Amino acid sequence: MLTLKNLSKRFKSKEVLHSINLRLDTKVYGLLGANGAGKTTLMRCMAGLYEPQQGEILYNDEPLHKSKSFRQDLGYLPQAFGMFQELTLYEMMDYICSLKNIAKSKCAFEITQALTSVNLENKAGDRIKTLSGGMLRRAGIAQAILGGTKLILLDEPTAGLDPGERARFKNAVSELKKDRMILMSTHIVEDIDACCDSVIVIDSGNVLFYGSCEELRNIAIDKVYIVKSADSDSIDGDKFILKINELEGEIYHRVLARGKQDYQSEKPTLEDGYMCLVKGLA
Amino acid sequence: MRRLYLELKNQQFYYFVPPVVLFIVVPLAVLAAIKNGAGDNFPECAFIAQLFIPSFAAWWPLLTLKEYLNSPGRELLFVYKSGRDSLLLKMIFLWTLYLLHVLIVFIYFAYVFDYVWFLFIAITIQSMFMIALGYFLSLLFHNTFVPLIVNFSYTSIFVLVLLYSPLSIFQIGTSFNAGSLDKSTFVGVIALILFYGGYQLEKHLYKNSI
Repeated sequence: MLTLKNLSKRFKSKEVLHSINLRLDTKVYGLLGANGAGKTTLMRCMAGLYEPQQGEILYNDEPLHKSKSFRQDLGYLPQAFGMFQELTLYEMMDYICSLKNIAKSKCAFEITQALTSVNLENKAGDRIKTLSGGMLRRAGIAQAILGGTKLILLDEPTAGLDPGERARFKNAVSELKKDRMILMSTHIVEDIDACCDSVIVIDSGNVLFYGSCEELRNIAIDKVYIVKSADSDSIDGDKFILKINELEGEIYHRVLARGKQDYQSEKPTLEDGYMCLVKGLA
Repeated sequence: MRRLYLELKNQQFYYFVPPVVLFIVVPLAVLAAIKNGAGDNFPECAFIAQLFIPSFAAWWPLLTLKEYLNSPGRELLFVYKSGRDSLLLKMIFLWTLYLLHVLIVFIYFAYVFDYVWFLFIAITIQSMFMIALGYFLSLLFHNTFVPLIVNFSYTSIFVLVLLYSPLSIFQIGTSFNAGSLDKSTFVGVIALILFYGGYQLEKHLYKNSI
């Protein structure tokens, strides 16, 4: 569906993306990476906002700028969302319908359907400026799915949301994933675990990993140990302390280590797999 | 047109500033000038019209551009906006809309004075210049506040202080006839150059500045 071939993007002398090759189909993908890893730049290239210096992006085997269906199929939620503060949610959606060239006769139906999908149908008459952060993110998803979009790009959609709003957001994504390609960038590993079928890990503009959540988790097999803080130094080789917990007055470290240790290894989480990758312990 | 309507609706009460100026402030100022003056009041009417009308021409365009330049959602607007759907086109629509309002004022002027239509043409071109300047500066500075200040400062300085400066687009103290439109032609050419420059900024620089 969406193919990235040898994609590179540079801002002046700084190369932000280096020769990225990916092929994305109808699934939910999580784009994981630290701040400044190049996630937003990659999303903006995929949305057609940035033109790459090298390589190309194909939508259904056609370059983005030549594809007639790309703009109609695209739904995009940028990191910052909240325009037309004085309009009602319905009017803002109507504006997006017009931008997406959705026929006026279909707009009312499309808007109602999209707002219902994200449980905002009773907020249609409220002004944008009165919506909470979580509602605004869900409104962002609603505009992204207007017109039966098949390709949805969500840039850090859960940033700044409280746990309740995050749960509602993840439920909305799970309900929308049928027959759609959804790419969700985040640096919150839990969100990927909850919603995504596949993960792309990006670091300093390079794709470090592309595969299923299970495969990413498996990277940390026999590399995760929980040891008392005093024993932490006895771990051999390269290591990284991921978490420090207190249990019954004793401090424990969750340590990622490259080689086999004298301790019982723990069942890895997605976060363990991700940290092993970015810390060079894979 | 649907989008333009919503963009203007988003301006809330700020939308009503140009109509208030055109339909209340300008006619009242002209009436006051007629009442206080003696003889030919047309030069004073031309002065009032040039002080108020061109300066508010860029009001709607700049408030509309604000969403595309300063709002958190500008990135989204640029992703969905097609190549045909340029900001320049919006500027031209808004200029036309403003001129329709100005036309109503001039229909009133036509009942009071003779030969107002050369002044109307001059003001039409001055309004175009102000919109073109606002459009160009907004895209250059990625900001709509600076062009708004430049706009009102330019009008105030060149109408109230530097009346006869060659840098002025206004025609204060001149009689309005076909010959007086020479300056307007020059102003029109400058406005077209500013529109062209703004369009190039929109096409090449603005998109990559997000």
